[in-house]
Amino acid sequence: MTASLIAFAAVLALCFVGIKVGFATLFVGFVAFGLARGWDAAFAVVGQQVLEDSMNYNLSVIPLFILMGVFIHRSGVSTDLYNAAHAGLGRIRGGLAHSTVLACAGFSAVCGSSLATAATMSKVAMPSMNRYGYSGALSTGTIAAGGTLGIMIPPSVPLVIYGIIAEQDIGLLFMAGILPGIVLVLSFLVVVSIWARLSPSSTPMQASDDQGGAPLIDDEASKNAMRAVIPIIALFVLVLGGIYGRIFTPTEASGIGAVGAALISMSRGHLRSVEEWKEALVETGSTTASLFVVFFGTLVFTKYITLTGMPFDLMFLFEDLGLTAFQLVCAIAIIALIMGMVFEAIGILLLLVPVFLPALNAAEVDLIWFGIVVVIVIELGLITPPIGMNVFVVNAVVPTVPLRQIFKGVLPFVVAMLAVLVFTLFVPGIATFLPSLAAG
Amino acid sequence: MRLTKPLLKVMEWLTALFIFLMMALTFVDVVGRYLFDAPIFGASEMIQFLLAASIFSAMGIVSARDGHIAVELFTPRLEHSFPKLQPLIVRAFSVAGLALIGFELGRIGLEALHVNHVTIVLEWPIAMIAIPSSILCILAALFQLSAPRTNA
Repeated sequence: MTASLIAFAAVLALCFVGIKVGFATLFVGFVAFGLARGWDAAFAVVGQQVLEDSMNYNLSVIPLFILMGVFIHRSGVSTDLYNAAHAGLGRIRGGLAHSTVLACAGFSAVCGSSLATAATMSKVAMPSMNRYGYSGALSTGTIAAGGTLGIMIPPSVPLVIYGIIAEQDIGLLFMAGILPGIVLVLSFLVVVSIWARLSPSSTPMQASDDQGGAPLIDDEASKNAMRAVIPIIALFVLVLGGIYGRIFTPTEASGIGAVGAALISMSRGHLRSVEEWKEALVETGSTTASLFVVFFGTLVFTKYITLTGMPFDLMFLFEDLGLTAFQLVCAIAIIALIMGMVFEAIGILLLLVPVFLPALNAAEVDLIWFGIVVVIVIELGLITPPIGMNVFVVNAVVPTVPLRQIFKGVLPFVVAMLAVLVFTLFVPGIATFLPSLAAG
Repeated sequence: MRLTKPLLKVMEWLTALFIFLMMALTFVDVVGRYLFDAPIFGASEMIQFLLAASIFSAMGIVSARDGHIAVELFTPRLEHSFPKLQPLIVRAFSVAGLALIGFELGRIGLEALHVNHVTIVLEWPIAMIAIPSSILCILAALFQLSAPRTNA
């Protein structure tokens, strides 16, 4: 256990210095393996692990879902999603912020990335909220928090990665994400309503209209927006329905999803030139490669951690402590919350899950439920300091709103997410109900 | 390096091609299987090769942009205090990591070539993917050496 803890400390120290996560974990794993088992073994582990991961058929789902998200991101459909949401909710107080939450949810249903959702919705929703005098904190907070829905509402790249590490059915994990995703959306809508009620000056839309402000969209535009949303819903139903009905494997569904997203994008006037295709495909390849470097490094590192016997030491430790499955999951959730202050989604998943897997299995924890708990924790990390990637993404797109104000804006949403996390911990059925229907 | 730009262009086209083929192959295989009862023989092995090919062809692009995932918690402060040393250390680790991966893939590739290690279904030589991946990884290490500093 001591050797593993030193190795973890070394990884943290290197990451804090700024060494890239994939190379910090690779270096520590390689050196520790070399010291423990000899350098020939260390070299062999690196080579085998890298080749195995890069040729893992199940992992091909990652670039294909990323590609689906990239195509959707480039299709301009986010504006229609926003307008469609606004057509339904625009007339209530705080309507633009409500619409932003719903549009984020809709965008998440065809894009598995939180950062892409936050970046896209910053461009789409911010101008309208600015125009109607919404406070900067509320507008940016809504977008940053809404963006986190990207990794809960399926398809979700972190859920895919979790499914592969924990050897859980990705289709069931996607199903498990639906209800918590809906509850998160509802909780965000409640936050916006309360905010609008407590601070009417933050959402002065009606006032602007009365003063002659132009309506955001007319009836014709809202009908067009509604029509444009239909293919998005169809693609979501096809991909998720296919997985749910066991018609496709997740890999097959990701291929179909990517082709469907490309067709939607083309029908909207995008992806009409080779250059546009190339840009989208290279963006996907680059994102995939940077994720896989973290994969390579952390998997070499966790190979060493497994060699030290730490996962089983932890299992025995938890057994000795007499922790129940619930207490164990709570304890790991707290560790994940702390890790979320340092690492991004993939780092947390790859470092945390393999270490605690034997203990979770021994305690007979439902790993589908646990996966959803971990993803909510990761979502929290996306909007809380010091990392808060979504906040930085929104700040990059909307530099006029200071970072401090955006963090202030996400605070009520953080409270809502914590409430959903606690709810999910106490009511596992929210995550396990839909998968149990599919399995049963 | 004078060759960086043209090499990067080639890598971009290769990455685009490999990802496109992966998407098309997955789609055609599913459609063929369910609609015409005619899946593509060995599609999953082809996808395995394409996955590795796309990762390593994109590795150089990511490295040239210094775009590998990092923890940005104390980096700005450290960079401010040690403006030359900190980036040098970061770069050294990235270059060494890529070189290590490249070296090992090359060794495995040559070994696979020597023992004629092939895939199960299509009997494609493993060296066919391991050796080019090794070369691409070494190129990525060289790109990383000359990459501009970013806080990606």
